[in-house]
Amino acid sequence: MIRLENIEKYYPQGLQKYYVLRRVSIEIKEGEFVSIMGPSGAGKSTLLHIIGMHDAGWDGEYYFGDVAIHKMKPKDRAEIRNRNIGFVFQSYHLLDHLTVYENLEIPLSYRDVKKSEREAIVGDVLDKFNIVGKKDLYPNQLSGGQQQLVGVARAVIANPKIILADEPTGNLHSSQGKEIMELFKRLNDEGTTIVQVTHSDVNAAYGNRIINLADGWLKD
Amino acid sequence: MENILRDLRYGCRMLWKNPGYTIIAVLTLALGIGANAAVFSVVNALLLRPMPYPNFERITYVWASDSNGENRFSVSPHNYTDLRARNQSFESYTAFHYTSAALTGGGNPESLSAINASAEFGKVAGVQPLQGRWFTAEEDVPGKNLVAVISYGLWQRRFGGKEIVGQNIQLNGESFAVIGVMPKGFNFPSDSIEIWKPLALDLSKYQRGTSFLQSMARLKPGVSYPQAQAEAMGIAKQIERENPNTDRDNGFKLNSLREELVGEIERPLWILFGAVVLVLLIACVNVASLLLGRATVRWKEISVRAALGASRWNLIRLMLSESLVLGVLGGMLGLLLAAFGVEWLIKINPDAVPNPDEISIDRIVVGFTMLMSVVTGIVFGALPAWQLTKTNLSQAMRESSRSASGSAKLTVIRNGLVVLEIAASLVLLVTAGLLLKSFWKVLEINPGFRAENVVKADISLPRAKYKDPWQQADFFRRALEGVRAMPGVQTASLTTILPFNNGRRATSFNIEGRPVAPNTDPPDADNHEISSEYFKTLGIPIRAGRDFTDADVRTSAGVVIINEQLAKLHWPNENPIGKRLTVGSPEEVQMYGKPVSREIVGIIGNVKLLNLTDEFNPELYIPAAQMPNSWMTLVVRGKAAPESLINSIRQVVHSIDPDQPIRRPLALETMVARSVAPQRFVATLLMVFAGLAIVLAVVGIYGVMNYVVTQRTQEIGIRLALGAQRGDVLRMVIGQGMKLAGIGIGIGLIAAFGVSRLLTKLLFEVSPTDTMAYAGVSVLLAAVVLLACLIPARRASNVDPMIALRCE
Repeated sequence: MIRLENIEKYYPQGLQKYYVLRRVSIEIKEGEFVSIMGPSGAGKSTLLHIIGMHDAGWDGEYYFGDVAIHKMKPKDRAEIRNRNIGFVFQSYHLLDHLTVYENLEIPLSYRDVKKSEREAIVGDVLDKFNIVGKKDLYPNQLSGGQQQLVGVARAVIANPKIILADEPTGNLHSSQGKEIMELFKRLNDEGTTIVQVTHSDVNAAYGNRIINLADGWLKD
Repeated sequence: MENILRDLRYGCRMLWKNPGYTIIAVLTLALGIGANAAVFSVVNALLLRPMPYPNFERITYVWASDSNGENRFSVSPHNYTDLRARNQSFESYTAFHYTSAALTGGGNPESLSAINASAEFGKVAGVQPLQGRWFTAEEDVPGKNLVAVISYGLWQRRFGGKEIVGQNIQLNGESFAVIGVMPKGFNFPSDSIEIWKPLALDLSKYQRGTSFLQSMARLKPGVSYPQAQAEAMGIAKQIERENPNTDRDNGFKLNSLREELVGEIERPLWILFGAVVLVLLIACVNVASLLLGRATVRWKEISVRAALGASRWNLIRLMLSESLVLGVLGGMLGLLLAAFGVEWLIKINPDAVPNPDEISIDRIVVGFTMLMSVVTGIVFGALPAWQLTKTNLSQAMRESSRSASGSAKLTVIRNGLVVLEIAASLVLLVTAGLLLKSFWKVLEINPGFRAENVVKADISLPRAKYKDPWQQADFFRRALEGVRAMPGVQTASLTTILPFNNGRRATSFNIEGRPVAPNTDPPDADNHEISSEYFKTLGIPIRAGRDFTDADVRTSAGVVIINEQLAKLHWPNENPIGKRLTVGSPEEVQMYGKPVSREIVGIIGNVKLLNLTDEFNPELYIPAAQMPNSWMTLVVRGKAAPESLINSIRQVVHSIDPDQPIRRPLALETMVARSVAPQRFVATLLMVFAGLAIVLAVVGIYGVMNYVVTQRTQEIGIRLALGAQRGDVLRMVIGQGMKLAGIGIGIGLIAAFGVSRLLTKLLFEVSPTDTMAYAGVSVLLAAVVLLACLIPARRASNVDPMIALRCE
């Protein structure tokens, strides 16, 4: 599904280059649940954002299916991203001034889904995640776990092939974290590819493969 | 469309949830937009709105002029007749002069503003009467001219709107048939005219050089102003060739109706408009700065939206929706402020602009304001929207979503906005400063008389009733005696021409013993007929010789008093007292059978006649008792509050002749103030706008400096922890503000230098590059910036290093 070859990412430092990723080559197959692990500064999040096509300044080759992402313009990359990738953030990043319903609706509205269709999809997802009763609440009226539940619901609402999660349980206590990880597991079982960045071995255990990074290098 | 509506809905919700920010932004915009709407309503009414005459752009004043088209004078009856007969450019051409008409019978006598006009006046105006008709060419001849067209206002006020056409009214003691009533609001060519009568010109009564008419033409369709001007000049040359003695170096000058009526106020109005655009720019900068200040709050939201699939256009549209809502809210409140503002503008200075009643918040002004609100929303919203949507998704999605580089860039932009704000404020302040200084200089001018406690009333005797000049003189003598006997009166007198009242009247004269060389014109001077105590009443100093006395009458020796300017011109190195001159006007010759030789018995100080900024003119004064007139102005110096004397003056006049009205009773101080009303109007408004600019600039600079201090709290904490003194921090913050002020003032000075060139024509004895104004404004602005920086600087110096460091 995703193939990265010799990905390098650096920041210029005067005349020098500060490398964040060095010659990273990985492949992620459809249906996999992959955890990216490593110490702080290893380049985990950078790699996740390159996979998520948020980061455009890198060298190397990136294939999404048969599509060569590295040859595409930013606008075309955004289209691929919108069609295929959902995101879950550590700090949930729900929009404070929008209700749960409206937060879920946002990705659909940016994909030009018709209003009637949007209503149906959001209704389904609210139901599936068991948050119908919370649809008119604002994020600050929800607990952390509930907010992340909405975050995951928002990530899946546009029916992505892959979900990228950057330390999705980092701000949650263990019982809430467990709930979220089980949700990921269920989504993975239903066929969604999951790539998560995590420091937690417990969370990594939900996946079927671990990619280790250190100082920007891939470790076996 | 649905997306746009959704964005607008979200925009409204965001604003509702941040009331403090919304109120400040809407108020700021309302002040800027309101000032624009108010000034635009004046510009619209006077300069843009079509005048209420069909094809008004073809109506032109035709003045007599110098041969090079400069200066302008009244037209002589002969030249009017010649131009009318010979030109091919005019569809219709009329001559007229302003006069007054005493309306008597059926109520209190009233003195009305009137126009005596030739038959084509109605065609030039292009407006038909509401009832009846205009006068015809057959009625525009002496003896058949006792017909009148009246205004709608007079018809309603005096005749209750009842059937009037075909009825007779008494004007100046004669019976006139009313043949027409003009529609409501018709006041061609200027306001307050209530009667239009035939001119009935009798050419045989006037010498070629005598000029007292104004004239107006309607150009034929397709004829341009330059074409008509060139043809009129050609005809002037013909007239000159035919009459070399009387029409030497003469020309004609065409001036469009609009230019004639609003020409003087046009430039000041555009300058005011420029000033309010600057105020709006400052308001926009402030709100843009506010929006950028919210960047740290919005950054996360924008990044998340982008991560969830929003394109940059989606994000820009979202942000612009919010600023559009702000703009429209500001526009609506601004419109409300403008409605009050316009009322206030007219109230504080009713004489500053022509046709103040025309100024209103009409559909055009509302449309302009709404358009401006939308444009404003886009202008102040565009930069923040552009900047905030330049999201680095990778960085934004990291957990430390506040992008340091983003904040640094925003700070640079906000600093740039402050510089722009200071520069714009400086331009506005310099403009206001220059015009205020100029206005101050005008007010400092000594008019040559003391206007306080003086009131005047014009009296125009109907010639039909007072045919004999000595009968007229007797009326005025009795009136003056009556007024002098009134309680509260210090002194009183009569004059034909009062400064700042009814124009000027020049006459040529001969100095005895100095024959006029062939092919040269005799000297001329402004001519006044006055009664005794005139100079005392007006406080005009007698420099040499004596005043007129009650002994200077018809049967006594001819006397004249001249002013210093005339003395300086014709007797630069000798004493004019005792010298003799003759005026020899046709009226004088008719009364005395020959020109009267007059001895100069006094020299008085110079007096400004029409405007404070005018040069002094040579003037001569003749005793009214030796040269009676049918119209004179009564001037009365009261012991206090001269307006209270007006009713008593009216009673005195009525006691002599119950049908005789007095006209335009007014305090002399008011008349002088009216002469500077346009300057006062512009200076007052500019002062208000400059004040507004300073307030907005202070708020803007304060906001930015506060933001900077918040951004640098940790840095300040570290500095303090490393040993920096509070004073060092204070200096650092103030230094940053003053650096911005320095750059802004520098740019503003250069811009002001360019803009001030536009003011040259409006400035009196002040250079557009007046160093004091530029320096004063720069210091003022620097002080204002210093003030705006003080509170943030004090806050910075009070930062607790431990708390600041723990915050992060």
